[in-house]
Amino acid sequence: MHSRKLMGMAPGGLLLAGALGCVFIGILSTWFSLRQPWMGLRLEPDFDRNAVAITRAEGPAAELPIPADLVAIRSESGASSLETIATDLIEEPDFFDTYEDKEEFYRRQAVLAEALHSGAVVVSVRQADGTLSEHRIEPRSRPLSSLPPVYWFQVLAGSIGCLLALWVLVLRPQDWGVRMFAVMGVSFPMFTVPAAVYSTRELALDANAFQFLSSINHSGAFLYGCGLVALFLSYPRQLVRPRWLSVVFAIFVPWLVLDLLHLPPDVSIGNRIPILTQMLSAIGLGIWQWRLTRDDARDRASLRWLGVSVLIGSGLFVFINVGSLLLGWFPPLSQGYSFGFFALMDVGLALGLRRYRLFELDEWAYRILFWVLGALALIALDAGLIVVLRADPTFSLGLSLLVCGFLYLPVRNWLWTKVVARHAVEEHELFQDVIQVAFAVGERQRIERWGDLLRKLFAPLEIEEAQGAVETVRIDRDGLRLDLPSVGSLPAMHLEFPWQGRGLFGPRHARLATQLVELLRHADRSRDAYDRGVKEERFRIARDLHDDIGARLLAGLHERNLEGARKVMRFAIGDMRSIVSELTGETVRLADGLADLRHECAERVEAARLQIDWPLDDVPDLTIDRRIHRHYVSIVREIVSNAIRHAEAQRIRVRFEFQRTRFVTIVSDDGIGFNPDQARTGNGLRNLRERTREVGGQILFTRAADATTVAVELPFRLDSAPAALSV
Amino acid sequence: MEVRVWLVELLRQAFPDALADQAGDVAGATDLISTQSYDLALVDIGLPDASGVELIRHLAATHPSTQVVVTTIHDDDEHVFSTLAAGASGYLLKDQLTETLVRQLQQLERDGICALSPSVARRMLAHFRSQRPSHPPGAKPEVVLSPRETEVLTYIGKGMRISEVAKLLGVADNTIATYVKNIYRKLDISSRAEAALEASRRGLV
Repeated sequence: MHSRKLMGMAPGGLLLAGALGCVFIGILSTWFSLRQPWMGLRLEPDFDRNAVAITRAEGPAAELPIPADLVAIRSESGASSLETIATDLIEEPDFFDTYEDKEEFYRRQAVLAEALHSGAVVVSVRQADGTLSEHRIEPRSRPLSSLPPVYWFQVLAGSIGCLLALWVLVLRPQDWGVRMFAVMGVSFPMFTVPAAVYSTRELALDANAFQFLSSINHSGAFLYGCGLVALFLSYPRQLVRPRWLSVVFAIFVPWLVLDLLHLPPDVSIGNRIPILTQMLSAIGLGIWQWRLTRDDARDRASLRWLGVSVLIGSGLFVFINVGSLLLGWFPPLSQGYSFGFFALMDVGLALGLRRYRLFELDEWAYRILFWVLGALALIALDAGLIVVLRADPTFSLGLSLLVCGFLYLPVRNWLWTKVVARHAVEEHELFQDVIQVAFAVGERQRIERWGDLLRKLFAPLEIEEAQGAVETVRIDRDGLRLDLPSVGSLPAMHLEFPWQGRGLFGPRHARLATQLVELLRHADRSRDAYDRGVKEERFRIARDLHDDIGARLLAGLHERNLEGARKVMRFAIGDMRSIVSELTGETVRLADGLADLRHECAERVEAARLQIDWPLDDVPDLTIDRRIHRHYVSIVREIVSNAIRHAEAQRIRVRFEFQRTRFVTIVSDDGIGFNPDQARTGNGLRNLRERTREVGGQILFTRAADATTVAVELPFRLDSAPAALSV
Repeated sequence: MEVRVWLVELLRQAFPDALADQAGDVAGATDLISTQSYDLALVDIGLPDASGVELIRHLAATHPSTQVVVTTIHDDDEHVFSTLAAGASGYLLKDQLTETLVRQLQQLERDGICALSPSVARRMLAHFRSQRPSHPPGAKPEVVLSPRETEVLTYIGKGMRISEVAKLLGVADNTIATYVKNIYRKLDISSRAEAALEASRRGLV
């Protein structure tokens, strides 16, 4: 029962195996029923006249007169002979109050069965007018059509009950309530299927087989009751420690053994009292649970639904069946159909699952059930094809191919893709998905997309946020669960029941998940860096606008003379143009930039009636960032302006040095110079220093008696090709 | 309005004896030139009713003796380039210092040409270079620059001014100016040829 025994197989596989087991048991019981010798009679007990009425005769007994009573039956050889009585036909041996009556019943069954198995039998029949006649009947094996509906009803009810219990068990194997519910589910077919076999016998079964089936039926009923008591001890609240649940079994299993050995004084004490005790205990525990859960609306809703389903289902059965026999309140209902009360319980449970989250299960739990049903349909389809093709010789090869091609294969293929096929995710698709998760707008959308991706990859039945901390990707609960750590703002998650419960998580999946988490972390970091970059860039643009244009416009505002104001504005326009073209992210060829700068400076110097000396040297073929270019142009412009305005110079020289890691511009003039430490032009100089620092360069002012030199050094990298000047 | 007043002032500084008329749009300017001939026209590209380029074309066609100078704040090559191709003798960037602009206007009077900026010169070189292979042989008369013209454009593209190029090549300033004017004319022809080619390619003609 411990969960470890169940592992190693995926829940879906376990459930399918269980379903196939149910199918197998159904086939086995049907095979056993059909093997019994069959006379072709339908017999009804008439307790008032203590007679066996023949209501229908067919097959080997076709010529029998009906209606009539079956009086006696003997083997043709005469070895076994018996006068039949009404109780030979009772559907359940528990009908008898004493073990002596029960043993007598089995003895009579043995004689009848022996006669039927001996070959031909001679039956004595009394018609309504009193005429007695003897007929020879040669029993043959039983046709399928002679099994009454109540037979199928019991087999089916048992299978469904078992399947539903397994369904819950494979999804919640750790839960004690679920385990106990599973005990009930597995014991359900134990009592319905044997009962189905012996209650629908024609007249008699071999006594040993009958007793064996009856024992299984009893064991099933006892176990079912134990499970029921233990269930209400465990769900919704755990009333006792799990190991104390064994006490329930310790009480009732010996009782069962005594009953099977026919040791108690009578059947009521051996069988009916314990079952009634179990039922009453379950009701008592249900009431106890009800009081315990008064503060918890959810638990109480689960309990109400479970309690109503289980207690009504099994309660009606026990009270109607046992109650009527033990206390004689009302005439017995056909036991076979009263098993339907249990079916009621199963339906109630299945319906309540979603609404009340019984056993913590939810809507998703249905999917695994649908899958198993689909898989069963697939198997039935395959089996059906084989049966049809083999059984019907009129099927020509051509017709078979036609049926295969147009009916069988498409239906099978449809079922296959719906039920079994897994969807593989391509690697590039995966990458794209991860990026989509990382760059989704808003946390909620990110979580949604993360969930979508995980569903796409692993198709888990359940995804939930982890309560505790998850450090790394790890496989839990023997492959049923995968724990994922939190990534950025995404919470840690548990994925349960991969591939709709049809698979288990393996090391390969853990590796994939680890890669996924790593990739997502990386993308997350990149996005953060990107966000930071965007923020920095915005800040830079704002600062440039404020520092360059704003400062200029402000200066223009205070400019008294119109021409001065215009000049300021012109510079402001120039700055704006530079900032805008920088945003396009283009680079400037250094040679072109210097050419334009030379032209502009030369025009200005000559307009001021000075001379400029700026030789056309070869410029290395480099491109430089527009931002750096703008600052550089501003710096040189400012230096030249200073020379024109303040130096009283005649001649301005501009020289360049391209060193390995530096690009040096030297502007000198032959004027009076200035003292860089004094504040007269301090503002402009500070501005120059700041701009140079902005692009990672240095500026150096030197003053000689007859000249001023300003050297601007910008770093550049020649090491990487294509060489680019950048900071 | 402000700009126009400022431009008139600029003209007065450059040519103290000159008389200046002004118009605010292409329609007004067309009226003015229909009644009178001018030595010089300063045309803005972005005019309220039509593109200045249209006005330049019109002027170049009807008043070949009028020097047209474009005033613009767009120094991106495309704008300037199309006006030069349309027949302008040069362009003035409005954000330059007044002294510079005055000097350039005086240079225009002297040489018949304004300063040509290195970036526009480089663009012209690229234009003539790229144009050649796309021409189907024999389809149109090829417009090619002479080696000298190419040389002049190359020097200007490297940051030299017209006077410096003249000094370097050992010729007079206005010889270089003539080269440049020739280049503008070829630019016009080749631009039209290109436009025609483009039109025929699209089935418009």
